[in-house]
This record gives sequence, C-alpha cells and structure tokens, in this order.
Amino acid sequence: MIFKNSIYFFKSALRERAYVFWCVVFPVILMVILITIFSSMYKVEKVNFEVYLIKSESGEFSNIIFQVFEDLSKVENKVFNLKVFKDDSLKDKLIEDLKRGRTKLIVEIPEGFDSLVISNISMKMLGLGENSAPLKVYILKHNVSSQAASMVVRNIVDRLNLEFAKRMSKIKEYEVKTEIVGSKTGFSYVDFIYPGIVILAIFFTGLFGIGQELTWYREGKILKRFRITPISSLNFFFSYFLSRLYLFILQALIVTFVGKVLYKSSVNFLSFYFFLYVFLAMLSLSSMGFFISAFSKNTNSAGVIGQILNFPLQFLGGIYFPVSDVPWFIKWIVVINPITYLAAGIRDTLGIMPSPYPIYLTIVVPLIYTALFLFISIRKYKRVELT
Amino acid sequence: MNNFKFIVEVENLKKYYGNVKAVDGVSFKIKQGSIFTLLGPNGAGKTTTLEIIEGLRTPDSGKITIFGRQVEKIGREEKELIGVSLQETNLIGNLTVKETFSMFRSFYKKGLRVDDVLDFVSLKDKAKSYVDKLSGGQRQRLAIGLALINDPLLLFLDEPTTGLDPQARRSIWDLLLQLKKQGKTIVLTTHYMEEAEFLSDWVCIIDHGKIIREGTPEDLIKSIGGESVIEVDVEEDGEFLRELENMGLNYTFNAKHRRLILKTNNVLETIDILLRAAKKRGINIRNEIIRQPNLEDVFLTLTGKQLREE
Repeated sequence: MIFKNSIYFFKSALRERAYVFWCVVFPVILMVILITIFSSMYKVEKVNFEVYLIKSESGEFSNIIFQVFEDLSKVENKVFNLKVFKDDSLKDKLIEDLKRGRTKLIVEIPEGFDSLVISNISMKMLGLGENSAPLKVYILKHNVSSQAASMVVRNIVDRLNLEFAKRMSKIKEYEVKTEIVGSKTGFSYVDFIYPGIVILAIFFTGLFGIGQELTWYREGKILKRFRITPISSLNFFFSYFLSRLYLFILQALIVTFVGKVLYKSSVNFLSFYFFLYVFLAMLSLSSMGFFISAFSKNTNSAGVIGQILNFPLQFLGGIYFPVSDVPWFIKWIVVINPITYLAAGIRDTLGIMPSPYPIYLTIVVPLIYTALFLFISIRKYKRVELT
Repeated sequence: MNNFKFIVEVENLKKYYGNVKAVDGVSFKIKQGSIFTLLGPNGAGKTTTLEIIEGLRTPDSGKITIFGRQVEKIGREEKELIGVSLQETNLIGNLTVKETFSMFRSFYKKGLRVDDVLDFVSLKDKAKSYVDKLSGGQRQRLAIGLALINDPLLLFLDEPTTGLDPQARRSIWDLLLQLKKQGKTIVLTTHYMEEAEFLSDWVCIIDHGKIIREGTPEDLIKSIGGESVIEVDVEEDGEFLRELENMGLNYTFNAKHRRLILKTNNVLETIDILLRAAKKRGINIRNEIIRQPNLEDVFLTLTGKQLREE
C-alpha cells in the first residue's frame, strides 16, 4: 500500500508545473548560469606577455642573459614573447610602447654592462666589496600585468645571480620539490558547484515542495480526509516521503546529467559518499519541510517561512562559494545551517575541497537536525485536530 | 457484525471549546438501514457531532456505541465499515478521478470495483479528468463515491448538497435513495429542510449544541399543529400584530424579513381576519402564500428563528 500511494503522490508532484520548475528545472538553470559565469573566473589563464630586450652589449655576461631570455621565450609553456633590440636608439619609442600597453616590460642590458660585471667580480675577489650589475627593467607603475611580468623577470635575474655566485663561491643549491595536494587537475568550478546544486534541489523540495504542500494538505483538509480512512498517519507520511525520494532521485539524475555530460564534471557520482550525503540531505531537508508544515497556519505562512529560511540557508550554506571566512556577524548562520555541513562533507569526501569541519560532524549534524525536526513535527501534528 | 437494531448510539455527548458549547449533551440512536438527519442552522453543532463519531474529534464526555461496540474513538476496524463525505471536499487536485478512487480503494481491505463506483456516481466519463477540473456537483459525487469505495455499512454525509444547484442536488438525493434501497445506513447533516423532509426516516433538530426535537418528519410537522400555513409580507406594526393575537391567530413574525407566518386549520377564516385587521390599520399585505407546514415551521416554532437565517 505504501508503494502504491507513494506513486500517486509522485504523479501528483510531477503534474504540478510550478513544483517541477522550482525543484527540478530551476536548479539546472541555476547550475548552467553559475558555471557559465564563474568557471572562467576560476581557470588559470596561460600567462603570456611581450618583453622588449634592449641589448646594447655583446660580451660574455650579456650573451648569457640574452641566451636565458631567448631560451625561455621559446619553451613550450613560455610565459613571454621576446623582442630584441640591438641598440638603445629606440629606447624612448619602446618606453612609449610600454605606456600604451604594447609591451608589459622592457629589460635593458646597458652599454658597458660586461665590463662592470668583470670589475665587480675582480673587486669581490680582492675583498674590496661588490656592486650589483646595472641591468635595467622598465615597468608601468600601476599596471598589474606589468608588475606580474616584472616578478617573472625578477625570478630570472635572481636565478642568473645565483648561477654567477655558484660559479664564483661554490654555493650549494638545495633542491625544492613542489607537490600539488588535493585535486590533481586543479580547481574546477563545475566540480565545486555540481554536488552543491544536487543539495540545493533537495533543499527546494524540502522547503517548498514538502513544507508548502503538506500545509496545503492540512489547510485544505486533505489530511483530514485521509485520517478518516483506515490508513495510519505513519503509513501516509512514509508513502509521502517515499514519493519525495523518487523526486530527489530524479533531481539528482538530471543535475548529474547536466554536470557530467554537458560540463564534463570529474566528480564520481557513483561513489558511496555521494549517495551518503545525498541521502543525508534528503533526510534532513525533508524533515525541515515537515517541520515548516507543522508550524505554518496556512500555505501563505508556509511560503513566508520558506522565503525567510531560503535566502540565508541557500547563500550561507557554501553551495555557491566557500563560507568558512565570512564575517563574524553572519558566521552563526553558517554554523547552524545544515546545508553547510552537507556541502562541506560531500565536497571533502569526493576530493573537491577540504572540509573546514571534521568529517564526522558533517554526518552527525544533519542527523541531529533530522531527529530534531521529526520529533518536534510529529509531536505538533499529534496535537493538532485536523479540522 | 452486520445486523444491529441501532447501528449508532450516542449518549450525552459533550464537546466544549472554551465557553462555546459546540455539542452540549447530545443523545440519539440510529436504526440500521435508515436515513438519519441532523437538521439545524450553521454552527448548531451538527458537524462537530458527526466528526466525534467519525473519530476526527475527541469528545469531552459521552458514550458512543457503534456497530454494537462502545468506543472511546473509532479505530481501524470501524473505519473499514464506514464511509465519510466531509463538509468540504478537497482532494489532491493533480490526480485524475480514477486515480483518486484507486488510491482510496487501496486504503481498505474490502470494497467495490473502482469502475462500478464510477458508474454509480455517474463519473465514468470524467474518469480521466483531474479532480481540480470538476464542477461543484461532480466534486460532490466524487466525495460520495469515495465514501462508498469500501462498500460501507454506515455512511456519514456532511451537508452533501450545500452550494449545489437544484438539479445537482436532486441527482445527489436520487443517489442517496438508491443507497438506502441497498440497505446502507445514512447519517446526513443539512440545513435544507426540504432535503431533510424528502430523504429522512428520522430527523433530529439541533440548535446551540442541543437536540431540541426529534422524530419522523411527519410527526415533527404534526407536532406544531395546524393543517396549513399562510405567509405574508407586512410592514412592521406592533399594534397590528397585537390585534392579530387578540383575534386568536397563531403566528410568528420574522422581523428581519417582515414576514408573517400563520398556522391555521381554517384558511378562509384566518385570511378574512388578517385582511380586516390590515384594512383597519391601513397596512399593505404582499406576497401571500398558502402552503402545507414543513420542517422549517417546526424549527421556527421551536426556536423563533428560521433555519437559514444564520
């Protein structure tokens, strides 16, 4: 009987256009919009800029510097294109180019550079101190790209200095190994948002689908009509919950189709953890719907309660962006929000982003909410005469 | 469990909401196979009484015996044997009529075939229509059909014709008479006296939570005396009414509608007295009706007000 009834409730929900739009179609539209807007913001763009090199010298050290720049401009993942100018007669014109953004940086190896380097080395060897070689770099003061280019050149020059110093005083270089932890492919907004949208779809169903619909069932005396039949309240609510379970599965499948097939998300939705958190979301957010219906006088008040809860829980649950660093005056909403734990838990266990909370908490908190919402709602429903 | 002298017995039933005495010591017995009607104005306590018996409300005190068994509140076993049509019928609007019947059929162990019920309540051609798209009359037939789906022994129909046009109301009456022929016991609430009079075997007139008179419609009508009723509209005049009283006329006056209602065994003599008195005081008389007394007159005589005034 439970299964049969759940199918009727399911059919009824699927025929409700507003419900299908807000709980099934809207999350998908939202996902597409978010991915379209934000995925490019999180992509690491390939750095590539123009560097002008004025080489007025052709000595050994000048050639080494020139060679390093030239080699770096020819590698596969080069970060700059190099244009070499053999004398400084065009310097003013090149500086004008820099101001107009045609290049991000000008490196000048001035005339007499080599002899200055040799004299510096000699002075150092004689213990007469040392002066740095006057390699000139021109950048634009308030231009971020220009400053970023200067940092790249600074690294090259530091490397050159180190090479010179090693040759002269046997400095031992320590090898530094860098390893990327977490996602091996780097941050993907699609992977970040996809499990969040699955939870969001369930949230909408809980808040508006269950909360408002059950309130209407009570207000419209439909629950009363069920109560005079031999069907028990437990049987009714279980059938109803089962029908929402089918809807959640449908929602998850549609969002998964969009995420996996259209946007090539690498999230493994067949993972045990994916199912675990989706199930936890179903439990806690459905019981939130029961809770709302138990305390709403009519469908209007259920709608108002839904709207009041919707925005803070939706936007401060970490669905769209990480919420661990929000200001203190809204931090409490994040902390008491069950969605925070569901979103953090599902992303952590799927290897998308580490959870700021211990994993056990991301399971226990939604379970506590489920128990609390159900306990209070059942007590409230038992007290109400459905008349 | 199928033969009882009285299928329902209610004794001294009380339900108070604060200072409001919704049901104030109601007692009655319902014979199996009869149509039993609770007749009264809105707010008289009819629905509350019915909902207590249906197990939807808990009484403050009183005794209910249903199917020969005294119960605090009816349980699953009794629910299998009763059918209920509530005063307000809202159902899941996105299900079709047939789906709704099938769903409710699944709640019961035994019952009728959905197609048979569809046929009986003349909704076969609407089987695939969504509940939301039904007219008031069709919706009411659906409600009665749902009450019949488990082939109950006892039917509770709370104002089944309220808000319906005369034709739809007549078709519901026909349905109820057919059900009576099948041996069903029907408990009806209504504030339409003609409905109670036409359908009922036994009528309980209820007002302010109390039963003020009960009996067959014929006995109740006879109890107020008079073979005929004369109704006329008159301008309100205290002296005129006093004069009628002095002349020995038995009347009630509805001040709100300025309607004078006279019970009489001699129509011609009463009209003569009435016209003379009116002429003497220069009062116009309009909309004269001479008719047989009915339950409305019983209610008016007992309470001084009309059934549909409130």
